[in-house]
Amino acid sequence: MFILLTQSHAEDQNPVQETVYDFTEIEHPIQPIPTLKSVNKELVLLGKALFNSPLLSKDNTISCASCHMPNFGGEDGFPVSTGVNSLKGSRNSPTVLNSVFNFKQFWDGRAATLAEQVSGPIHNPVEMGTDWNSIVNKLSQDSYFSGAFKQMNNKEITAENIIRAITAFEETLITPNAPIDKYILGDKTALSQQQVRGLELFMDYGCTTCHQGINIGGNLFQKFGRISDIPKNLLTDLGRYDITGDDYDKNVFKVPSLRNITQTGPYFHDGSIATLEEAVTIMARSQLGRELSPSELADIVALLHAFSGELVEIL
Amino acid sequence: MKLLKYLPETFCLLTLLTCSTLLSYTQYLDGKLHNTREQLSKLENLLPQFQIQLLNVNFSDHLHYDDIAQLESQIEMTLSNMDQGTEHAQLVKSYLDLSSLYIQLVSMTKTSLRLISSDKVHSDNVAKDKVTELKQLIFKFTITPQDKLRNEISTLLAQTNNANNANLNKNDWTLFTLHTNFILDNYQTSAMQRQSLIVLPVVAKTIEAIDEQYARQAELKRNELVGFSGCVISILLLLLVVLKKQQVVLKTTSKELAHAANVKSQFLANMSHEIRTPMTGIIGLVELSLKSNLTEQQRQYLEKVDFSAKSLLTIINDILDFSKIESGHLHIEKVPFEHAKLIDNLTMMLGRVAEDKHIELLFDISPNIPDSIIGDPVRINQILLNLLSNAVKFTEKGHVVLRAELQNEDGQDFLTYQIEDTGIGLTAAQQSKLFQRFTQADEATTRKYGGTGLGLAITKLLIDLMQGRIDIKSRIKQGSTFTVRLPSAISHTNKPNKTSYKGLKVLLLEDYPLSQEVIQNMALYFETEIDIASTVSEAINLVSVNSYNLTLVDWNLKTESGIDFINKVNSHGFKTGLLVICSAYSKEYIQNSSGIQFSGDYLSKPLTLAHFEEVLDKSKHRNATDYIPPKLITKTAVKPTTVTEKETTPVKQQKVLLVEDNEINQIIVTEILSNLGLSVDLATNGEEAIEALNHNQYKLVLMDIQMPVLDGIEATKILRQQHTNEELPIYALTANVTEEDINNYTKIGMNGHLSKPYEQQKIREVVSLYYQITNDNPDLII
Repeated sequence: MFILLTQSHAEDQNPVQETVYDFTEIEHPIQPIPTLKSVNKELVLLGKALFNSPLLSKDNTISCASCHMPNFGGEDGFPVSTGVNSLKGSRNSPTVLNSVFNFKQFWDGRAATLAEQVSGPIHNPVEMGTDWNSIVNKLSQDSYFSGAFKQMNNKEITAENIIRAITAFEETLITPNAPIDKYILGDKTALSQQQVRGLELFMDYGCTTCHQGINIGGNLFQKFGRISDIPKNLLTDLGRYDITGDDYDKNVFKVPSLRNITQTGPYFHDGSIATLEEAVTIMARSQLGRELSPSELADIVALLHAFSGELVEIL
Repeated sequence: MKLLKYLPETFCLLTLLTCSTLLSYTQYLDGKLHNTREQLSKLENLLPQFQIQLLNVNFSDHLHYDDIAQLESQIEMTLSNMDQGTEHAQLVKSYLDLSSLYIQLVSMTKTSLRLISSDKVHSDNVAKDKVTELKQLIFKFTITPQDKLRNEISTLLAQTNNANNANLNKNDWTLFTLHTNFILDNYQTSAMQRQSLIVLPVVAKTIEAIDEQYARQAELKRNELVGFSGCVISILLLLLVVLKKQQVVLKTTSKELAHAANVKSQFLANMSHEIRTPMTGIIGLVELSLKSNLTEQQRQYLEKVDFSAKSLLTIINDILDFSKIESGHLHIEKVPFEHAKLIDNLTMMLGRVAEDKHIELLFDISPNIPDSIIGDPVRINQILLNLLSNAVKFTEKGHVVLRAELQNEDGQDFLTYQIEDTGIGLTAAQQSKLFQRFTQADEATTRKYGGTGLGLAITKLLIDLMQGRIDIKSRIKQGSTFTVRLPSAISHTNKPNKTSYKGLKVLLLEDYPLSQEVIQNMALYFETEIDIASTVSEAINLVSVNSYNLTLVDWNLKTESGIDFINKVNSHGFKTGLLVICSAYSKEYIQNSSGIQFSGDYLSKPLTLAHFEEVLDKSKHRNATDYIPPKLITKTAVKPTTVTEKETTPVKQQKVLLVEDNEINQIIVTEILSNLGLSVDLATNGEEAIEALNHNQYKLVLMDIQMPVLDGIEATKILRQQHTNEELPIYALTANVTEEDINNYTKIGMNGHLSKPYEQQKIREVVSLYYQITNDNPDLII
């Protein structure tokens, strides 16, 4: 009887050391990628192992890293990725690099956080096609993982703890020190003359309307073909409308980050555009109503090369 | 029936169950509420920040949306930790959705306006004018987005397009047209959205929701309180019910127990009575038999029967008393009685026992106790007898004192008795259970001292019955003091006038300081002069120079006896006045045991005031010179004459010199040797032995080692200077027979040793080396 009286409602909130960044804010549409201040190394290591483990897929064939290769732009280079049983997905793999700075995850922004995102591919039948119970079972039987979890303050293998580890790893996948960051932080030699011209056009012509902030994108939704016509094939995917059913959300996608854009082709949500030139041309036309001259196009594409940074080595 | 019996408990338990469920449920809700409130507070903080950022989005210096995106994320996270179904959560959600749409449009319109204003789309003046007019109209529209203005701009745009098609840079014009159209299509929408975002009461609703949470929490607290107090009350009720039931059960049980105890006591009383009747018969008949002609053996047997029977009777009496008191059948009488007689009675019953143990038993009875007191003399006697006999029983040396006086407190008279002993004492733990029946201080004591353990329990009960009090002070190995206070009434206060014996002179020969003190106090009371001597020689000195009316002589002194004093008085012809022998032994006993017949007065110890007065009175009527000293007539020759008294005798071949200070040992060895046909000359120390050897020759000296004046070792050393061990064999009589000791005896020239306790056979063997043994009687019992 007294047990009922003394019931406690305090939940277990284990304070896990979180990833801390050192942000620098400047007067510019584009903001530099922050530096990593501190991480929970053990957790990150475990997260990395989980990220690379095929045990997280139904038939132990693919891992997170199969489609999101951190050293290759954070994705796989295919228009759409191949999941378990060689099933094809319907959208281009978004890069995992700098994804922590996106305001939402997935093309349609259906996940608010990285932690929320993890469950998506796990359950998607054309991606990893499994569920947490199976994964927990498999990991418990694995000698490395059962030991590694035990070392983490004797943590149990649970979906929550797996997600926590993977998220911690993903939080370290950032690419600071891109030429553009160095430039806007004051190193005027970081960009070539052509790239400086490209940056002026990028801002003057209104690209920074959507592609701004730390991720040069990734912080708002925008509609495909806002100003002018767009190739019909790009409009078959209704994007955010599929989630909200709201007419306003037809063909609305999360503005993708342009960080490391040279490594993340092919482009757009369906990976249907192979080159940056094509992509820039379509964007200028449909989103801003502008036809770019060849030199302008070359300048802007040159600038896009300055958006690639270096993957942080933490361990 | 059974169910009904447990109805109150069931009711309490059900109430407890209900209340505790309520309590834990409210606590659960409280936890949830707490969480919700926390999230709401976060929202209360985040939403205004978000709102400000949102309304700044259309400003040209708002370069990027990281901040607002971050705030939006935080708000969404907060929302996801809350109940999504509430009206408030829905409102916040729709607010966020709207804001998302607004940002999409406003970020574009901002760019469109910038592009329109900066682009050079004209090539001639007409076109330039038109474009300028269009730009003005568009800015006007952005300030007041009305349909009329929109139509106007649309028309103008179409006209310009048609009229100046050729004059316009196609690329620039297309850009201009597209963005103008975008503004026309969307600006009103975005303005409306902005308006909606401003008016949506999202912050107010949040605050409202917080208030609501507080209200709910207050309600919850009330419920929690109800639940908690319900729990407490039902637990208390349950306890109460259980205790009440227990009480009822206990009451019944105690009634049954009381009845059972009563039956038991009654049974004991009856049994004791039934046993006592035949016991009395036994004792009476034994006493009669003892008066008839009996052989020595028969007499011994019967005396033992008598003793055993009386012991048994005592125990039975105790049990009877105890059960009587327990069953409430013991009645305390209130009759007038003579206190002095009561004390006299105690003297008779205890004096002898104490004297046998060589303990001083003293009565220090205050003269303020009147002759007649109202009370129960039998029971007071029983109390005192119990305490005193206990004291004597547990005291090995020293004294037992009974002090009595009358005290008055708040008009009430109390008889206060104090029984002090120098016995084994009691620990605090032993004191605490001293008055429980059938217990003695400890098991070991019980074995050593025997007894039923009823005595003190009865004493306590009797004192309780008299509304008295008993206290004990005791220190282990130092002794105990029992103090008894009994409320009493004085039957008549007018004590007969005290006779003064002023002018009489008393001499006291007594070696125990406390006894001296007590008798001195008595003398003071009677106003007589008193001189005190501790030894015979002191007394002789006093007698030689003073003249006394009365001389009190203690029979048992430390090393001497009353006889020594009388002998010396007689031999010197001193006057002692009335000479009174004091002893706890009866006169007859003294005469029998000492073998001396003495004429003269006798007082039993412990001395009482009344007895003292008696002898004072007697002495008053005589002159000191009138006194005829008591004659000592030696009845038998059992007691050996001492060497000092002995005249020089011729050498006797059958004589042994025994050097021994202990009287009992003297008797035993003398007995053994006389059984062997030898006579004994006695020396009580080494000096006397040397003296004796100067006058006499002995074939054998038996020498005790530890003696006063000159011990056996030193005496032997001196003797060996004159006599070799062949001329004079000396044997040690000693309890010290370690190898070291024996070596020492040999070294100083002793011929051998005889160990204590004495072994008759050994003595015989040694003696036979030097004497012709005539009367060999090995059956002698020692």
